[in-house]
Amino acid sequence: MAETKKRDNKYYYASQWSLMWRKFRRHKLAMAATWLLLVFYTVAILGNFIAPQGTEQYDGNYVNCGPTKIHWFHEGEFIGPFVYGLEVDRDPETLMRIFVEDESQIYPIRFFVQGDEGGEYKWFGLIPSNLHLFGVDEGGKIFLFGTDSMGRDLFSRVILGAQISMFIPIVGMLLTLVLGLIMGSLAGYIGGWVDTVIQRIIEVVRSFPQVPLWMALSAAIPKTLKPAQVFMMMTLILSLISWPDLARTVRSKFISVKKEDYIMAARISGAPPLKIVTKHMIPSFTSYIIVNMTMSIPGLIMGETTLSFLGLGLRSPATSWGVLLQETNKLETIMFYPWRLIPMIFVFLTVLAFNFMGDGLRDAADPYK
Amino acid sequence: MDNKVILEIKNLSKVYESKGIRVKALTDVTLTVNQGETVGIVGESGCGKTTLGRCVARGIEATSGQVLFHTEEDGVIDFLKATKAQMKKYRRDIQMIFQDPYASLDPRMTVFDIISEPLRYNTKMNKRQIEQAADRIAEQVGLNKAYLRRYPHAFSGGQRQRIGIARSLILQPKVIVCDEAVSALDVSIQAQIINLLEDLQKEYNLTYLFISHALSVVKHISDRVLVMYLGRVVEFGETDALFENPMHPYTKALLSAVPQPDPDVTMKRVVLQGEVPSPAAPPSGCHFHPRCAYKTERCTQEAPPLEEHDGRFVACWNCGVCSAKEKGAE
Amino acid sequence: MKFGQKSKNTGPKEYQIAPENILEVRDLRVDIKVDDYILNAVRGVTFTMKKGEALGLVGESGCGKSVTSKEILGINPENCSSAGEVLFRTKAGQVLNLLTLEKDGDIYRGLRGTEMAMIFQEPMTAFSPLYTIGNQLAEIIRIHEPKTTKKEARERVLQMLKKVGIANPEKRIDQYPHEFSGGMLQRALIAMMLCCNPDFLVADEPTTALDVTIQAQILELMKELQKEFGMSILFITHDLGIVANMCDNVAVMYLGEIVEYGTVRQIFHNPQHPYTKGLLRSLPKMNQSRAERLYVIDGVVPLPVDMQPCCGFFDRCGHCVKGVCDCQAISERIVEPGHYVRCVLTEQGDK
Repeated sequence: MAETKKRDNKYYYASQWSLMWRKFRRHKLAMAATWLLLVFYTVAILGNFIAPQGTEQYDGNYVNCGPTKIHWFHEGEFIGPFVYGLEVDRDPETLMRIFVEDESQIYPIRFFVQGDEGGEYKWFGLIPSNLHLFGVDEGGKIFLFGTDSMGRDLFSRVILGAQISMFIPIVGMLLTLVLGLIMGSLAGYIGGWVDTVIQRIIEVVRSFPQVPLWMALSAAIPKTLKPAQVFMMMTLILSLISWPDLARTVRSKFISVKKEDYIMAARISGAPPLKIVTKHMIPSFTSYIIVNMTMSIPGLIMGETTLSFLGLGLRSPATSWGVLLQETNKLETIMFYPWRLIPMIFVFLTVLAFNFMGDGLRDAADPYK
Repeated sequence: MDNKVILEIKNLSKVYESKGIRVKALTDVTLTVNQGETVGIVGESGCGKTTLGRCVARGIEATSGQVLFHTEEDGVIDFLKATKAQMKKYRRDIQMIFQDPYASLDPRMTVFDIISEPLRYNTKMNKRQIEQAADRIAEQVGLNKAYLRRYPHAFSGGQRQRIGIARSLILQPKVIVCDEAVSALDVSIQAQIINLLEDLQKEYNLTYLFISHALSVVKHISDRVLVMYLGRVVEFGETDALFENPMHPYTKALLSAVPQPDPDVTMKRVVLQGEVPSPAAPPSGCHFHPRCAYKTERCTQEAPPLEEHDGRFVACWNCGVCSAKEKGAE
Repeated sequence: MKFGQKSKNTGPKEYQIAPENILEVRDLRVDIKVDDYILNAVRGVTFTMKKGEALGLVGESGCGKSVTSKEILGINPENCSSAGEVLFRTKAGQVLNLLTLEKDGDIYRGLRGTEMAMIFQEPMTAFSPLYTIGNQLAEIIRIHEPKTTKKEARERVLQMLKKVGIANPEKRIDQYPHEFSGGMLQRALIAMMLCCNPDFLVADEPTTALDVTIQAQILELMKELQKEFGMSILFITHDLGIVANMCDNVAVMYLGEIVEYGTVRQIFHNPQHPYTKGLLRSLPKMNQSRAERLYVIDGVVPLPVDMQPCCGFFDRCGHCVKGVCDCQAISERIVEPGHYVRCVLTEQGDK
């Protein structure tokens, strides 16, 4: 009984957000997805450090090399994680180049190593460094996910690509939020002809077929731009197309919350209109906006991937998941070098995780039901 | 009671208009309210009683008419035409208690914030004063002061209604519109809240406009009762007399329809035929005529005015006819 | 027992109930799992219903009256688990323990509709907005009597609509639910129920959403129909006025228990349980003068979590006997024949 009381007390003093958190925590799948995303984003942020290679590093000797096997035992003896040296050979039947392990060369995996030339980066764009999480001694090679047709380490590229592919959506989402919030609030709160005009704009934007519109807009990005500028243009394009959904949510929430008794109560007690909007109305649907934004991220990730896949976004050597997938768009690649599809797994996992997290958030968004 | 008039409502009308459909929710409602009394407003759904309450409390804007508020300093003020300064000064004098104790409290604010919100907009009190005022009012409505930092979801329906009452009282208003204030509550809790409202009325000389469809509650709490049908007043008079001898055929039917909690009261129910018409397409003339057993040709064409008969206001062309008929039948 | 699962009897068991009874509920217990705790919503409810009887189950929200009725119909949600016996006599004279039946099984589905029916507070939810009222009613008839032709079914529906007092049924039969007002829908729902001619009806707050004058019409209609068809009606309501007018017997529930049971006259004129007394006294009455202050039961209904055996009312009761009411299960006492009360203060009457 005493325990019930204690728990109840906590519940009674719980604000909206802690109630939501209680509900969200119970959604196991969403929690798992949230952890996964946290890991992905941490890795992406520390990308240059974790990735053994930089974007511009390549090695012509190791083209289309499969994922390197990591060994722990050499001839039955435990010596910690290491890789064998690689030798080029030819397949006796297909005459294709293959790589075989040379068991006489042992390269232990070392942690916190100085990278090769070309692996330099700056911590947060400030402190120059060439420190990498792991690597092997000179002469050895470690390609966790294999290499591509130019001998670039795919593992590094997936991580560095994540920096683009996972952050474009966030920036795009923020732009979408600003646009959607402004347009939605205007339509929902003021109503009348403003509402009508905004509604029509939304309908027009939504009735364009998405992919051709992307293509048209992207084609307008000058080819001479630097990757960073292309990045900005892409987020702009994506958010220009995705704001109507959010605007609609905001608008309908405004309209429905206007009729709530507690809004009327605030008005009768003399609250000025701006206070009613900021203190009662917007807080009442903040959680829904968060849900909506989370749910819109998968679309933005797909958007970036699609654009780059179509060759309209970033181009090599700049890397994103879309760029990586674009490089695999030949049947032979998939047939002979299946590891080149690994980036797809990450797109898939990220999109799925955002969807699960969004699900959990949606269930928790109204803790008062 | 000193019969000092505090509120005069004159020809108040409210028309809702959307997509070409005009709904007359209120038509020419006129009524005078004395200080310290409780006026019960009864009727069925769609009769305009809630609209009337909200127009008086300025939750919505009336389309036409006057809401005259008698003040001590500035004489009579028409709320619908008041200046900003007047509004700022006197809006706080008319407050409202809502029906649904779940929907009328912002779930994201603590009880303290909810109760003290009106003070922030209407006074220049500092934090300490606000806290003291909130504590005082909480005690008065029977809320534990220690619970003020909790959120509404920690409270039951009755306690939430106390929170709503505290919010409406904190500005020390003169008039409180109680819109179905006890309808959503269970019987035992309802009695607690009714008693609380009565105690508060005595203490502060409050004036209540008590809107409800629960006739027994209205009978219990009101001094005078206003009966509405489809946006119009059909009868208005002293509670006991009106319940004893309803004069409008609609009032008669309404009162007889209430099931009595006594198995031995055999009811002479006047069961009305048909449904309440939609306010969007009210019948011509007297709105009640399609369901009235005493209707005449005139009823179908002209709307009867609200006229005084023996201290009672009734809107019926055949006022007294039905009573006389019944007596004749006996 | 796990939630959402039924205790299955190992073998077929013969149940016996008194010949004049249609329903016997014996020590029914229902637990509801909510988030991270368990509500003991119904804590041992026992009552019987005779054929043709109208029983009122009254109490405030959270007293377990709705949960009880839904358990009888087998429509409680998955998070409820039940124990006890609910014995029901079918038209064929067979006695079934409803709790042992599979809730979505063929037998139960067959029972609902033909043998037992329910009308709700919100009649709108009982109809699909996509089909006309006529179609939905005809479908019910054809489900229960597959041999009926479409034309015959329509003819029957028309009769039923006429019977429940829907004006202009020829036009109404082809209208959609949204074209009906609340009162009309409630009539249509009653017609739907009559289509299957059940012996037992659960009416869960059937008029709470309606206006007073419409409520009077519906109650009048239900009374007539009960007389005509000899149905047993279980009235679930918080409105003591309706109970006084409509029921033969009353069971007053508080916190998952029936605290008092008797005929309407016994309950309204000679209430024994402090809760029943308080409830009746706290009601504003039409024939009471204004000066009288309403009687108040202090406190609020607690949540029935981790309930120990006790009188549920002890902490709101002015006559609570410490050491008895708050820690012992209170047994039923007989006041006079047909009048039972669960209170230690009542002297045991003659059996």
